Amino acid sequence: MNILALIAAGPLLVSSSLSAAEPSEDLRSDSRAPYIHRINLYDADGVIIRPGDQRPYSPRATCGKCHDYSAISQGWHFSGQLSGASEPWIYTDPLTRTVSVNPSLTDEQFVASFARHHPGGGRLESSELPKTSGTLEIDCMICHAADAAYDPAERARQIELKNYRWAPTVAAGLAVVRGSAAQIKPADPLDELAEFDPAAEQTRAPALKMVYDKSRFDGDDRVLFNIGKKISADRCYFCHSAVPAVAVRPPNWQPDGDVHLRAGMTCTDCHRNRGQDALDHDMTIGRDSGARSDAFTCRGCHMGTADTKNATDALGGWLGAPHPTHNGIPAVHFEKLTCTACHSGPWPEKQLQRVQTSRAHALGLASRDRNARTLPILTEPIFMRDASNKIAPHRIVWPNYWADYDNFQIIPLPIDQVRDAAKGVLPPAAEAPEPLTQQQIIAMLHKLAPLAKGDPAYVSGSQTFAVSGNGTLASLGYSFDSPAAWPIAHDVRPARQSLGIRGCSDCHADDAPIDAALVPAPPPADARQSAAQRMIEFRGGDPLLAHTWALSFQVRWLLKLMAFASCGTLATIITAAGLRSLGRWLAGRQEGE
Amino acid sequence: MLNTLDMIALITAGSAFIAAMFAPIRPGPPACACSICRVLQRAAWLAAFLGLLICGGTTLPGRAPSTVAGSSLVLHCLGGGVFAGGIAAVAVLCTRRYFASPLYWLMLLASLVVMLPATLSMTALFDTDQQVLLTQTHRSSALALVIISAAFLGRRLAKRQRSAIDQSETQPAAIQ
Repeated sequence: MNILALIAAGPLLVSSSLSAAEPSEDLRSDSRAPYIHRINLYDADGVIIRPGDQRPYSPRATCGKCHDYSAISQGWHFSGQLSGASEPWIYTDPLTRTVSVNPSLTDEQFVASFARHHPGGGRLESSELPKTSGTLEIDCMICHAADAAYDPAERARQIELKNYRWAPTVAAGLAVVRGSAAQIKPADPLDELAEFDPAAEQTRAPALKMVYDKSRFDGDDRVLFNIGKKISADRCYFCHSAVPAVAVRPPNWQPDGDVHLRAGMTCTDCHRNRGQDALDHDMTIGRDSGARSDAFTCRGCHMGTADTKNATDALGGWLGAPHPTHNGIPAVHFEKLTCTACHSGPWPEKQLQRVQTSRAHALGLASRDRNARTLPILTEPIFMRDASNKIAPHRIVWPNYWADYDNFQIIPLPIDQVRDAAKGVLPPAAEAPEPLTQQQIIAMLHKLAPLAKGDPAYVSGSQTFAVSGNGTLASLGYSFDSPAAWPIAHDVRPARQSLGIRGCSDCHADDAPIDAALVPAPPPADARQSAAQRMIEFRGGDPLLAHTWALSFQVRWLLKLMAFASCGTLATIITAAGLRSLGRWLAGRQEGE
Repeated sequence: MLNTLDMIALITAGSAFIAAMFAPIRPGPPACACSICRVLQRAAWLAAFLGLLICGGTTLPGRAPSTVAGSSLVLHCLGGGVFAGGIAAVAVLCTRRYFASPLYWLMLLASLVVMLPATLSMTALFDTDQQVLLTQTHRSSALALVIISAAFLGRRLAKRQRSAIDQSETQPAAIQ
């Protein structure tokens, strides 16, 4: 290498050794056109990656050079700070029939169970993860990729192989990886968290080999990231799909999708970043919060935001949203119901629908075992009160787990220990296990006895069981746990399919599904033990009041008739008297003259 | 909070109330003396005031225009039906007697303004904003109706009491 070449390469060498911890430069294009991201890749140490390198690219170092990674990481997609408002993480184990909502897991267990549908960051960057696997940084491309080159299913496969740090690179199609980080022996065999040195590993035992696709690099070793401003709904669907859990899927022409998407919108048109800083990733979820982002709730777009000085927000109509007239619907409905109650989710039927979701059933990942009875059993639409005390459609799942019943408290037993105890006691189960028999439950409870401080118990659906003094299975008599429930807002149906379009009796009738549909505790809870409840009772409503309303709507025509007749009578008498008085007054004036 | 419609209703009702207190009592034409008519008239008045009482009572828990809900709303609708029937019967049976009473006519007018928005809101002719306006009109005019009705009732009771005193003063003289 001559001296001229060294001088020319100097700035490049300096820039290539920039630390990942260096503050971002907050580069902005400020154009409506998307910025073309033809950029260098950086590894976790901030060193530029060449096509022949074995090191995976680091989104934190690469994207973080221009965008504030720490600000982005506060977004609830990564930090998980949106509990209660969105679908929970549901752990299922067919062998033990465990269905546990937001279970207490170690970071490693959480990653193994849920990282397949998690964009990275938060717990996925925990220092508790094995150093040989690395961490799962926020994978920006899982959402921001504008083409089909990014493969989230491949990312999930790499996570299954415990190739955490390699997952973003492989999923983006930049490289392929052969082998599994789980096979890598740490430098110090006694320390599983020992730092992984890829170079040393390569010379020692190539358990994991990485090959970059050289065609993706240009002459300056830059790579084109196809990033669009408008994120496709297909990107969101990987983690946010929900399909009916039926043995025979409905034909493709039947599901129509969300009416907004049909109109040409995409998810991020409404689910925008909440703050002024577009990087906060604190995305709106369609609820009124008092912030400017309320302009993009259902009410904000379709009706305008009342309490704002911003004229356009007050007027509404964002994204061409039509103003609903809601002719004939008394205003009290808008105080008692969310917009989604009438407009979202499947049309309510007496038979509730079972549904499968990406996060709960790993939709998006190819499987031959997944079927209509695969755990967990999610049920919708359940009309119950949300955080704002309005009735909204929800999706629910009943818990099912083994616990320690101690001092009138139910504490779930550690999943690993329950699994170990189940071996030899419970039969190996497929994806969709049958409910346990009483004998199996008793045997399992006996096996779990040494693990429990109090009495081992089986929480199943709406009931809790324990072994009684005479050795039989006994219900503890009352429920310790209610189902996990979270509101659903999609798919939004067309206005012509909204609840109430056929009249008041869509809801105000004795057999209206919104009140009369039965909410059972489905398998693996023992269906014989779990009594189904009518939906109105399930949500704590008053069945007598609902019945009274239903009855009143049968004689509503009589009330209308009486009211119109009374108004007519009063108007006639008042008019006649007025005319008579006027006539007398005029006659009196004439006589006076 | 009182809004513009409430203020208009209150001013109207207040003016009527004051005017009624100071207006001279003029005897009306005699009512039909037959027992059936008297029973019907009493029943009509009873229904109207009972309906008014139910409707007023069921709106007490809430102040906003559309906070009447649930069982209160069921009772409110029931009371509304009773009131509508009662006041229409009063108008048919008692107008001759109270023809000269301005409070009576104000009460009928307020009743009409109360009932009409409630009736119209049961049709599919009005959108959300118009429904809110109808509800607000219903509420404000109901406020006026309550005041006018109280004035009318108070006036009638005062008149009845005065008649009773006059009667008791004249009766001993007649015996003597």
